[in-house]
Amino acid sequence: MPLPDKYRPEKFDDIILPDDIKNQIKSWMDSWMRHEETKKALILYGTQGVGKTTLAGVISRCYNLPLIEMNGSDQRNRENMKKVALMAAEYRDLFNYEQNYPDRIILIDEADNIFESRDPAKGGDSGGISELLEIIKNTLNPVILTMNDFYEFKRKSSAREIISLSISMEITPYKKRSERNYHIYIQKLLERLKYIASNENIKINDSQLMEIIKKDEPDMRATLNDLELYRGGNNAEDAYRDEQESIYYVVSKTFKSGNYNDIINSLYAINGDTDFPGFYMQWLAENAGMEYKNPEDLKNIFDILSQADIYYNMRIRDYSLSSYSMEIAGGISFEANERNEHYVKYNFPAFIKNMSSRKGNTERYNIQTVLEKLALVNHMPSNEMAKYLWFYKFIKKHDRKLFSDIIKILEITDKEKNALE
Amino acid sequence: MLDIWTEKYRPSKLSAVIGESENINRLESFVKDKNIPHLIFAGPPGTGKTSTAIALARELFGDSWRDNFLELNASNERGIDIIRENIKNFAKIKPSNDLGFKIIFLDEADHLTPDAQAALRRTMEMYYNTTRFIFSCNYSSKIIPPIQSRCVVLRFSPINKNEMVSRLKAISKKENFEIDDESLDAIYEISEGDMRKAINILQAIKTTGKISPATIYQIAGEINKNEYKKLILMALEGNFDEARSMLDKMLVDYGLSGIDIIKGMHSSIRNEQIAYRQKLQIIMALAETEFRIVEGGTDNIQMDALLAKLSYIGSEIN
Repeated sequence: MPLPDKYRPEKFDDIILPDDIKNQIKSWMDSWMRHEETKKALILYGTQGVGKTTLAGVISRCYNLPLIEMNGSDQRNRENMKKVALMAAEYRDLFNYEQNYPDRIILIDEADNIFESRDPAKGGDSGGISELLEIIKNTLNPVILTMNDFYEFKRKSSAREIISLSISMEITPYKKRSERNYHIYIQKLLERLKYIASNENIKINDSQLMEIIKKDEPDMRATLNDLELYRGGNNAEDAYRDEQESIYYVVSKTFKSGNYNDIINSLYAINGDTDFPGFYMQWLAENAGMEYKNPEDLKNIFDILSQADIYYNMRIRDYSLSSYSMEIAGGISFEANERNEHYVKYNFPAFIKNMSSRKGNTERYNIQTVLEKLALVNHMPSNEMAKYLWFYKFIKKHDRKLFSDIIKILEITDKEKNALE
Repeated sequence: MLDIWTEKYRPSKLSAVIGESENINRLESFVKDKNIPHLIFAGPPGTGKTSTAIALARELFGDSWRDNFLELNASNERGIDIIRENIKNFAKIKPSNDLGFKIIFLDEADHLTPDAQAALRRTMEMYYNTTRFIFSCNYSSKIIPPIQSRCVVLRFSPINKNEMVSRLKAISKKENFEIDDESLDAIYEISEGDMRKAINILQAIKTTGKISPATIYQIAGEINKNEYKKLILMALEGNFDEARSMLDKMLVDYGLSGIDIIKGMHSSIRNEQIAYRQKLQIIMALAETEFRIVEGGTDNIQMDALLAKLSYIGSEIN
């Protein structure tokens, strides 16, 4: 079971949302329980992953009323809405219904996707919103609507009337980062994640937790999904400094998550400098070989990566190519037939590391310095010089006189001489 | 002076530079006007880019050319800041000639990142009164358009056979030894139009004392070594990780370019006994990789992709 489902809150106390939101919801439900309801429906709107559906579940549990759900995948046409209407308003005990209602909660998830158009050419659903209005007018049970885009919903005909019969609440753990609720959100979520991590035996340190919190905020579902990526116990905290953590994490996501939208969002969230896509692709190139053992997959993955690399380098002509390249690179895992389910510890790109640590490595150092000295007399760059190094090795073997002149004039050391073997 | 023939016989006048006569004509007319625009010299190694730049400086500045000509290269002096610092210090000092400008020769300009190139563009403008830039590169496509548009681009191509052979003959005459036509043909064949390589081979066979096409091909074997063959075999056998670290050594320690390595691989398998279908696939993979690098791909990523493809071709054989 995915972590967001396994650890979905079951009590109001477990929900990480400001108290006034929870209190308002409770008092709305209480009014239903006392048969004093003035607003028949509750509209919960807000960005994804903040807990709108979770709230409906908690209400159902706390008030001990079954939740009748019409979820996002159902078709929202008039006929289907009618069935919901029946369930909402259906009377059952002619004599007792006054005492027994409400006996269920109706949840219409993603209500902003209900179509009003009666023209099948414009989406096929028809009359859904007017039917929804009828439901709310006649219901004997609390109706909860959730939606992302309240403002878009508002513009639909009949929506205004629905809104006037409802309480509309924005669900968000905080409005601004500067407010107290934000600190509570961070603190509570961190606590919760630590609990889940230890329960699931996921090894992750606080700064890594903070990083996924910050990256996904306020989407708690995404935060929990991201926690999954640390499963398998890596030693990231020892091996990688903070600045490398985010790239490590997005690389792991690229190979493992299987959610392209999520990968792309993470890439944009990193908000690195203009060199970031290049750096990211170096990471992918370094680690693809560990991730994919099937030669065909490896070939296909690298083929895509090399194409992305070309677009990246063409950004000097058309800057937007840079973002294409990052998105293409982010999608490489979808080109593989097999996904590697095993944990892989990702390495910092050796190519970059070697480029910057040449001076620390004596063998590399000697090759470099001798190339530089030879390049100087030849009016050429030292890396070009490597192609002509054979000539000096040849001279060393066959023309002692010239070779000792070269050594003297260029002050070539014994160690550097060895590099000419 | 060291007895290295490539330097000893470097032309000191523009008219002595072999290769594109059109380029030389244009540059000579600049010399006549005593002014030059910013220039880009684009072409493969050993085709006379540096020689042309030095000869141009000598003709413009005479004996004081060394004081008025700064040679920098983008790939050695890592970091655009160091380059800019060098440029600033050089450009600040008043030119010691009556032309009123000095020349900065920036080799391997295509190795600079686009951001570094953009920074350089401002430097070019700042010092235009006293300095002219000559950018040398393998591919002008890797130079950002704003710099290209400020420069006159001159293209250099591999040296043709007649010119190369006659230059080699002239050198052998000065060095007092005889060389037959077949040996000259062999040198041309191996050099692939790279004059520096050709002169290196000429000097190498002179030191052996045995001047014959056979010796020349033996030396050629030493140039290519078996490194490239080893790299191909490793990949074909599916040792992708090992092949990658060998590639890494070639790219980083020896500073070879992706194209160099592809060319080396290509010549090393040409006469190998490999099933024809696989050979065809390998050659196509090499061609595609070279094509992508020329289009602007990053060496190590494109080469990694090549090794992955070779591993796949190898896995199909087995």
